[in-house]
Amino acid sequence: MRAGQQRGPAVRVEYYGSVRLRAGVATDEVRAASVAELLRELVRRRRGLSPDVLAEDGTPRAVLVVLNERHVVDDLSHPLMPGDRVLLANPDVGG
Amino acid sequence: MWSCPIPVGDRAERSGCGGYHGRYLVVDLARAAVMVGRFEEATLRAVLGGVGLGTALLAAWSEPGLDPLAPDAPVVIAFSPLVGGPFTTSAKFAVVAKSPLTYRLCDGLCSSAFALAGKRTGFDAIVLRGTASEPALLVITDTEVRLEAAGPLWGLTTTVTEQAVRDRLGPRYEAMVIGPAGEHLVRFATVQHSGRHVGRGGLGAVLGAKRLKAIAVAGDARCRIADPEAAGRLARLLTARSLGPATEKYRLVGTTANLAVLNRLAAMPAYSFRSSQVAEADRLSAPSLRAGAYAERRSCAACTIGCEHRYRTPEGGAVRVEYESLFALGAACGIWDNAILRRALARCDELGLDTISTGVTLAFAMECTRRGWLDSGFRFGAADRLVDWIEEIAHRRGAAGELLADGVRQLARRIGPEAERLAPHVKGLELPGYDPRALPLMAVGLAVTPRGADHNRMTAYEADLARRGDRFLATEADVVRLVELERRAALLDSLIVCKFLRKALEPFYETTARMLAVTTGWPIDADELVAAAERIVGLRRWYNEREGWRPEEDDLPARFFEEPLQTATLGELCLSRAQFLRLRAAYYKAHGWADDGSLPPEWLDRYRIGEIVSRLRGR
Repeated sequence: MRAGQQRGPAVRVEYYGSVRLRAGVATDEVRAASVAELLRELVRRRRGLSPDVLAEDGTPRAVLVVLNERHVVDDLSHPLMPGDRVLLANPDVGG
Repeated sequence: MWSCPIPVGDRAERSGCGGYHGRYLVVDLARAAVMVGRFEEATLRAVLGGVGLGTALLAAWSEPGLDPLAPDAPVVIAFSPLVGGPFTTSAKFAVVAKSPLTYRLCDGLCSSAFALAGKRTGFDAIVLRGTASEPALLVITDTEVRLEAAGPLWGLTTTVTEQAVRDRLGPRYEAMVIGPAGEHLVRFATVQHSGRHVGRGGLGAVLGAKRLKAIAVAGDARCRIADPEAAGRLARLLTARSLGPATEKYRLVGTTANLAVLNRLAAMPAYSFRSSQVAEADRLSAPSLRAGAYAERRSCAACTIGCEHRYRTPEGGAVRVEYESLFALGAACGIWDNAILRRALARCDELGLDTISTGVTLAFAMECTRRGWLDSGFRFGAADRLVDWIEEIAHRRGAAGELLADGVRQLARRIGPEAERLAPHVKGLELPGYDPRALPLMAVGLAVTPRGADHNRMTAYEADLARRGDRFLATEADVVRLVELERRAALLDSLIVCKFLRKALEPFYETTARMLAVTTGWPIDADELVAAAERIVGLRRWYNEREGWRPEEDDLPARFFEEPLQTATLGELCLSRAQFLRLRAAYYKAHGWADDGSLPPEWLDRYRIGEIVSRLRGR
C-alpha cells in the first residue's frame, strides 16, 4: 500500500497531554487494518509526532497506546475493527 | 525567647564521606536545649536521607504510642546526600512525623531553597521536640539555634508569613511556614515553602501544636563532593535528559494533562466517587484551563524541568494548578468553573490546606447530604460557596469548620456505619484522584502504603498502565511491578530526586547508584541500592506496626467492592474483592512479609531495622 493510501476500518484517534500538542489536533479519523498501520499513517499525517513520540516507522517511543480505553497495546499487529478508539497519551499518566 | 550556641566542637567539620555532614541537630523547644548527634556511616548508607533517614530518626526519637499533637511528639526535617550538589531536581527536603490525620507515618516532601539553606546549617537532619510557650519562629544557623517570639505572625497566611520572616531576618534565610489551618490544628494542614507544600497528612498541624509558625535556616557549612568531575559529567547528562521526551508532559502541560486522559480511561473520580467518567471534565482539561488564563511556568530551585504551570486568579494573582487539586476541589465536588477553582486553590495555598483532603472531605459531606445523612448546606456544584467553606475549615469555624476540619474518617464516624462504609480514605488519609475500580493494581497500592491512601509513595497507577493487554485482568504476576515502583519511589524520596525525573534515570539503579557514588565516594552498586530501597519500604511499615497498625488497615472502603461505577465507554466497573485479596497477598509475598502483611523477625533481621533505630536511639 502506498503511503497515504488508506484501507481498513475507520478508527478514531484521540491525543492527550503533550502528544496532543505535538499532533496539533485533538482527534483524527484514520482507516487502518492494524495498530502498526495506524501509527505509520499518524507519522505521515502529523509530523510533530516523530521522532520523539513515534519513530519514523511508527514504532512507539514515548507514548502510551490504549485501545478502546481498556487494552494497553504492545502487539502492533493487533487488528483494528470498525469504530475502534485509539488513545495516545504520555506514558507517565499520573504524578 | 531563647538562644543556644552550637558548641564549637559540634560545628561543621568534614565528614568521612562526601554529601553528608554526618551530624544531626535535636532542638527541644520547651527546655531551650539543643544537642548534636552523629551518624555512623553504616546508618547513612542503610537509610540514605530524606524519608529513609527521617523515618529512622522519628522512630528513634519518639516513644511508641505518642499522640501526634502531644508536646513530646517529634517532627524531623531530613535533607539528603544530593542536596547542594550538581544534580537537577535534588533541592528537596523531607518532613517526617506521626500524622494527626492517620496516626501513622507521614513523610512529606517539599522543594526548593529551604533544602539548600537548611543543609548549609551543617546538619543532615533536624529533630524538633517539645512545644514553644507562645507562637514562635525557630531560627537555625551553623552557629546557633534561636527561638523568637512570633505573635504578630500568628494568623497570617503562608506567603505573607514567609515574606515577613525574610523581612525580619534578611534574604539569606529561607523559611518553611504554616498558615491559619496549621494554627487551628486542622488535621490536613500543610507546611509551605516558596509556594510548594508538604501537602498530605497534616504536618502543618504538628507544627501548629508546637506553636511554631515558621522555621528559618541559613548557614555556610558545605559538604564536599567525592568526585566533582564525575558528578559534573553525570549531572550534565541528566540535565540534558531532563529537557527531553522523558519529562515532556511536565514541561509542556504539567500534571493537569492527567485529567482528560484519566477521565477517558474512566479512572477520574467525580461526585465523591459516584462517577469516574463525566462529560463535564472537558471544562477542566488542560486546553480549557489554558484558554485566557495561563500565566507562566516556573521551576523549583536547582530544577531544569519546570513543571510548575501557573494560571491567573480572578484577583489578579497567579496560582500553581495540579491535577490532584482539580480532581479534589473540582470533579469530586461537581464544580466545573475553573475560575472559581483557581481562586479556591489559591486560598488553600494561602491558608495552608491540603487541596486533596479539603476537596475530598467537602465532596464526602456533599454525598452524605445527598443521601440524607447530613442536614447541611453542602451541595454538589455549589461553586459560589466553595471559597467560604475553605475559609471555615482553615479557621475551624462555621459548619464546615466544625464538621470537616478533622477529615473524612472523623466525619464518617460522627454520621455512623453507613457513612463509614462509604468514606473515601485509607488509614484516615483521603483518596487521591484515581478510582480503584478502574485501576486494580492502584487499588492495592492505595490500600497497603504506610501513609494511607497515597498516590505518591508507590505510583501504582503506572503498574496498571504498564500492563499489556486488558488492564482489568491484573494477576499476581503483575504485582512485581508494584513492588518495583514502590522501591524506586522509596529511593527517589530518600536520595532525594524529583519523581518527574524518573523516566530520565534509566537504567534506574545503576544511574542512581552512580549519583550516590560520585557524591559520597562510597563504592555503592545497584544491588546495594535495591536493598536500601527495600529496607526503607519496610522501615516505614515497621514504624506503623510499632504505632499499632493492624492488618485490616490495608484495605479499601467497602463501597469500592459493592457499588459499581456506570461508565459510558466501559460499562459497569466494580472492584472484585477476590482479585484484590489475591493481588494484596501476592504483594506481601513478593516482599517476603507474612500473609497478613506484618514483618517477620527474619525480614527485620536481614535488613537490620531494629539495629539501625537502636543505634540512633543510643546516639
